[in-house]
Amino acid sequence: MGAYVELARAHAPLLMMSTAFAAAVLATLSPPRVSWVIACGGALLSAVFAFDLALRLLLGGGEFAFLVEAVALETDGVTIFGAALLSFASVAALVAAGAQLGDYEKRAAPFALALALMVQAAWIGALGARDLIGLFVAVETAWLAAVALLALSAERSAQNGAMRMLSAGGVGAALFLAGAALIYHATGALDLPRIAAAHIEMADAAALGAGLIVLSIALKAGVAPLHEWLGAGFSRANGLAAIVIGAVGVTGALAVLVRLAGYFAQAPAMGDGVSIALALLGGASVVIGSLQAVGATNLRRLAAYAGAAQAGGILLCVALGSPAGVAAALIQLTALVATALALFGGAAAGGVRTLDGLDGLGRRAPLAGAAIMTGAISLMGAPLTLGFLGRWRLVEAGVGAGWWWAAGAVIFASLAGVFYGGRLIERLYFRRAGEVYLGGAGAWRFATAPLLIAAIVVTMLGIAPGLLLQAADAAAAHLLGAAA
Amino acid sequence: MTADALIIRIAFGLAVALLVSGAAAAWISANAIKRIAGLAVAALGAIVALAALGAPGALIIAAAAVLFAHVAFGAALAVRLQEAYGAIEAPELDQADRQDEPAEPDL
Amino acid sequence: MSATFALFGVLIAPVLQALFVLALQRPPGLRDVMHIGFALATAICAARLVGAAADGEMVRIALAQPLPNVALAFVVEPLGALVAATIGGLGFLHAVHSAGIVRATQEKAPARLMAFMALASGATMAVAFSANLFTFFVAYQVLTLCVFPLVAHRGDEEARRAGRTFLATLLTASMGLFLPAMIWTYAIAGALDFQPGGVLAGRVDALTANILLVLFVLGLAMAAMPPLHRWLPESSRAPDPALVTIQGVAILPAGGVGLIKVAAFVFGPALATAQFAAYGLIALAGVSMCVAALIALSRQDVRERLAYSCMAQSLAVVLGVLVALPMGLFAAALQIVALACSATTLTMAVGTTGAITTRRTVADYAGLGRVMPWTFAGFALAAASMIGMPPFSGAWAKLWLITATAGAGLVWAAALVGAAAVLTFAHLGPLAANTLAGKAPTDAFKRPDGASILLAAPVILSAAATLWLLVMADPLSSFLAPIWSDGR
Repeated sequence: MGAYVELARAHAPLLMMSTAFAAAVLATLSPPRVSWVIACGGALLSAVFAFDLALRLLLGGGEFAFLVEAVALETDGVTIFGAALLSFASVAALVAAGAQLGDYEKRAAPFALALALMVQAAWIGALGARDLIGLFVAVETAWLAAVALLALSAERSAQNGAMRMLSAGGVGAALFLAGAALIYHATGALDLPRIAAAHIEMADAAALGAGLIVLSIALKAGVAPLHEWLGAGFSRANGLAAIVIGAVGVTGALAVLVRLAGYFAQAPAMGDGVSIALALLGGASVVIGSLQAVGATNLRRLAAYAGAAQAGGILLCVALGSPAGVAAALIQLTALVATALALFGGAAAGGVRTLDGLDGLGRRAPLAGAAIMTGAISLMGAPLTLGFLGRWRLVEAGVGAGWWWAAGAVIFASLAGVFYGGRLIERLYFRRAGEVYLGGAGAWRFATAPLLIAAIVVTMLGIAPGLLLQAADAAAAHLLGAAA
Repeated sequence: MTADALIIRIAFGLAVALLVSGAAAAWISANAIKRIAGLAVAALGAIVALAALGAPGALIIAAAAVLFAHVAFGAALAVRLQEAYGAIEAPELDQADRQDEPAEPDL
Repeated sequence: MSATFALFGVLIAPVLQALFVLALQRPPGLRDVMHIGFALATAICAARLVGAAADGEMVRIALAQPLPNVALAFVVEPLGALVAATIGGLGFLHAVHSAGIVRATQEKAPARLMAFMALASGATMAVAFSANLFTFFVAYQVLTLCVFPLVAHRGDEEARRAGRTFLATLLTASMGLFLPAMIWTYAIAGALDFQPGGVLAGRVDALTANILLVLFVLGLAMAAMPPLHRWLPESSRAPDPALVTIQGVAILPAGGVGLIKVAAFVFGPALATAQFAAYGLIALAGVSMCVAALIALSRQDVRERLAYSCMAQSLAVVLGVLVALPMGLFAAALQIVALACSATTLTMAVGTTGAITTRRTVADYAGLGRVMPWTFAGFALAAASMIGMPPFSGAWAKLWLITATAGAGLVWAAALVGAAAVLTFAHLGPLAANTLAGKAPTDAFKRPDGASILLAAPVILSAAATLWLLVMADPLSSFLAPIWSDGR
């Protein structure tokens, strides 16, 4: 038995991805409820591999030694941290999907679950890709799976949102390819470690190529002002699609961005340009996302725009190019996942689409109300939440690098969070319900409970974040060391 | 400048033109079919850029496959939109969605 | 009881109070016993901590390490112990009074009201005993979030609007002003701990000190410093028990304590380098005291009048802190105690009157003291303290404040304090006198049995508390001396 465990551990990076793919295939061949069980099992198995890696290598200081696979993989600290985060979000989303299968036609439900697993598997694959080819294929697979998941909903408005998402993603794919072509032309390599170490003579071409790739991934992460698809996609998505796209998809894209930036930062010819691009994008996303969230009148749009603001903060962290900056980015990424699960999950559990659907939800559905409130206070940057911790780490890293304006961006985001988060809390607990509770009947409605509890617990990790900080620091140090 | 270098530059310039025009059409066009067409043009531009700059065959093939998937998926979506809404212009689709959704509250 | 246990007690007992009150809502008697019992326990623990501070015991607890180099920690020191003991004792009386008020007025969701009052009390204790700026910031935010439901309790449009103003003002100020100041302090000093002698001493130039001072003072919007004061009059229509929490035993004292801690433990002697900002803020506070007292005079609703009156008194704390002398800090500490005692008494008296007679305006108060002698005796004593009439506690606080400002060469500031006292007399003196001297109304009571003991006794007992500074001022001076030492 021990030998099998060791063998599995040696192949863990591949198994994280392939178990989810295999479960996706099996899920399509099964009836809806059976496929739900298979999907949850597959996601959970993938999470076990990811968390085992995180515990051994990030917290235990183990050696990053894996068998060479047929698929070109490069496992670094951010790969492991991001994979653990993605698989956690995916498990939570798929368990909660048990309450939302009614949103799909009976024939479509297994495919929806399979697509959700594909999103997870593909983003994990992107995080572990060694070269730009593998990265491109994985990213686009994840994107197309997310679009298909959105389009699969029974409502026609979801297809409208899917078209927006598809066309935006297609533009991103074209930009990625153009960027890859320029990088290959400048460096002669497509391998990420070789790109980082390459002697670059055509610095402008390399920097432009890196910038285009960063733009492409940032578009998929919903970073403003490239987030044209965000509002339309989220406001028309059903519960499962919103959770998967918001918590798994956006997280995957941002984790890939963090990883890429780590590699590009090591090449001086590209590093400065990428840093400037990330800083500008990040600052713009914080401001635009915050302002749009303040003005949002649909709950899912509000959560999506708030996510764009958080994504901007992550880009600012990464732009610093330091281990402290990357570690801060990973903390903020964790906060983003928890907030997305809380808001999208709470909305799904409460059957809420519009803001007035929140009225009195704190009494009608206490757990959903508590989850949304937790997400709201994290967005405000209230102390003892992960949102505050992430912002504090950004400010620490920024001030250390002389980037005082980063602190200004954090303050702006927090102030905006006070307004739109406060609005949510007021509606949850200080207004009477104006419409019928649409949270669903039957025992399956409790399937969202684990997601909501997980979201609350992770958000409140801000009270005792020691292990999380240690893992983030180790991941950042390994990434920048591996990339050097 | 050698003939090869000139051809590469012209090809890359053509690629950039295709990519930019296709991306713009895909991004801002109100008509779903035009969006897909813009995607296809941008995809073509990306592949020409890859070929012009000597990218490996594996990347070109992967690019072609993925971008074909985008265009095919987009075409399928456009058909579904026509069936569901009876229209493929974004303003008409958005108007129909607004009528389907409940009214938003005053803040 | 060990001091460490007592420190845990003042922090945890209010939380338990809230939980038990919510869990044991029926019968109401049991709910009230829980509410009053835990408030008494909190007061006893706070009193124990005064003894610990007087004996110089070093008591510190760290609950978590949420940031590198920064702990969520609490420490017993004289200022915190004094304020905690004051609000603990007043909080017990408030608990008794609120139990009577919710019965008399048939207040909706009384358990929820009491629970949030308890949580606010706990958060105020956390503010008082915070060991560093981060813990203070956390406790401040928690206090804001706990009092917000009290302001918005009634759930109607007016209450929601008041709640929004309250939350938006306090959170925006703390996030937009106090937090940047905290971050900047951390960047300069590398630490956020409250240190006697000031963590910034010798580390800041004049420009930085001036900017930091403005950020800290305005960031602590609980001190009701204009232009971030709107929340106080807006919240004056909250339920009467909530008003006591806001004006007497939680919000205003927390703002005052925060200012003193920042001045003494963050700036220390560095406050002298921020003279430009300090003088500007003193002028703003002094003028605002007078304007607030004038506005109070124009208000016919007694609750609004008291809100502006309390605002003027709170600004006296700000003034004392900014004088940058030990005497000023002492005056500010005394003023917090005096304000807590008199504001609690006045708001409880107004609550009792509203519950028993439904009268809320100045004109309707005429002669009520003849039919509610105990309540309005307390009202008169507290009003006298607010005005600054000896021998009540407010007089000693004002005396020290005027002495401190004059001693710092700020005679104009001393004149403003005096003018504010005169204006306070103008809006409280005739009101209090008229309740006792006016003709007794014949149709006063809406409740046939008048004010129960639960409603009358706390008022007179807290009024009596306005006298204790008469004998305690001198011992308090030596008790509080460590807060303005240089730490050597």
